[in-house]
Amino acid sequence: MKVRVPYSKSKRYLSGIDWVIGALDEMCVRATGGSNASQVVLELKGRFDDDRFRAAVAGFTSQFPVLGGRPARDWNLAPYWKMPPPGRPIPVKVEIRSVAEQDVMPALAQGINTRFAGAHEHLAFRVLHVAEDRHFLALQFDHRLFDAQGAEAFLDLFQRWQGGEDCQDRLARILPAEPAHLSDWMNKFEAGKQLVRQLLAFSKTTPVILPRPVPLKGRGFKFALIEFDERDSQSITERAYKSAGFLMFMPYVLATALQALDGVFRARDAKGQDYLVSVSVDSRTPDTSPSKLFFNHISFLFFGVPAAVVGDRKQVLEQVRSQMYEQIKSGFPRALAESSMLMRILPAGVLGRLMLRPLHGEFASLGLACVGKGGYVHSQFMGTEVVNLFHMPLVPTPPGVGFFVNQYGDRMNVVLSYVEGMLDEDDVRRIRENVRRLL
Amino acid sequence: MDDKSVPAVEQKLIQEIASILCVETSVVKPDVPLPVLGLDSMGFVELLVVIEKTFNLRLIESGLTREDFETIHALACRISKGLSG
Repeated sequence: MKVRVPYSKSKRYLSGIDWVIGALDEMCVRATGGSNASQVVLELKGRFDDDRFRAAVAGFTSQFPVLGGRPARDWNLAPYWKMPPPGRPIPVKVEIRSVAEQDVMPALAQGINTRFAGAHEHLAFRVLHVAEDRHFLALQFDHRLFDAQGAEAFLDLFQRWQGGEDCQDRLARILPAEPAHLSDWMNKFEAGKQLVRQLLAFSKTTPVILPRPVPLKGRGFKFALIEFDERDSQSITERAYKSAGFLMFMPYVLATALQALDGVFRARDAKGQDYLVSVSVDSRTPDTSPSKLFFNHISFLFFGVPAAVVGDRKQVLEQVRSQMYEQIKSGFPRALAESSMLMRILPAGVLGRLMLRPLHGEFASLGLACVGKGGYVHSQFMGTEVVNLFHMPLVPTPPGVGFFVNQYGDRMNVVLSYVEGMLDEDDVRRIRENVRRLL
Repeated sequence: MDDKSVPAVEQKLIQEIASILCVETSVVKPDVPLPVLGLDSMGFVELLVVIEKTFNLRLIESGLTREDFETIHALACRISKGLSG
């Protein structure tokens, strides 16, 4: 017999994945004192009008009360995103300052390491002026409100709106309400069984873990950006298709990440048998993308690669490809999304602790994500040419280290993100060289 | 699937890709490269899983060359050949 629990049709209930992201946020707070945040950065060339930008931010963001909300629990215990009362201003910070060329990355890192002020702030814009015709615009966002693709799509909509494009149709397609999913319990329990089986399989090995500095609390994240121009990016795609197989870009990136990091992990005396990598994957389809701007529309795949075979690229690629195939065949990403609905009953902090149980306090050796093109599609922002676009995410800790690839137009970027003190400058230099050599 | 001809396989692939991408079958053209249609690594592997379930062909270990997989038409030829062989 199906049990149906009543819920409000006008609320935006949080999905299981949203709740997992919330749990990762709690994990970040507990570990480093930071939050589960990220930022999209636009590198701009040309004149940039600060006053016009400030006014546009105020006008655009005021249309989205969701930006000033916070998580809450309904009477039926389902978590939802509580909207602010009508008329309350949306707290969106805008900071503008000038920096020297060599201070751009540290300034961007400082921005993303800055915590949001209060429970209702989830968004901040920072503009860095390097020269009269060179600027960086960073959109810092709370991961509980946006995933990477959603944040790019938000910027894309911003560009369209301020450019005078009629966005009514696009705005109308953004669904403010989401059902509570308080039915089909048997399906959720079945999905939960599948998830537990997979986690138990991984828990039999000891993941290779890069030692984290002590104490962790109060440490920010550092970043290394490795950019590839159009020609190099094209060659990388060709090499990926040739060695990993047609369209097998993600497995190729994962193999590269493991090989690029392996030497540094070993040199730092990382113990463990298998590299375990969590990979976030976008679950949007072209028809649902416009309506899935806010919150998280992702799932995860997990890959285990014995440290002993990491030196053998062919073997790594075969293992990753085969594991990806088996996980998709068994419906693992959907099972994870479905079963995580059951976890919403737990407070996010408790869920965060529970997620670390199978691997004895660890989560993975590293996190990895590939953000495809298509989120932000314009070649300019408010009339200023966009030279490049990249992401700078804070990585939930553990593991505290992540490898992120994105494509903007015909360009590709790799960003290494790590807790300050986990890697030194020499390590980062070696990783940069490895990535350029292996990708 | 009884009909192993290229057009029949092609039609089946169009339906499946439309389902993976959640788009109308009319927008999925057989001669358009799969990445242009919107398939990424995830979507492509989903398609390979569907091919195994529908045609009983496990292509993930086949080398996945661009020539065989670039378009729906090329893939249909590859599958049809695999079914006949």
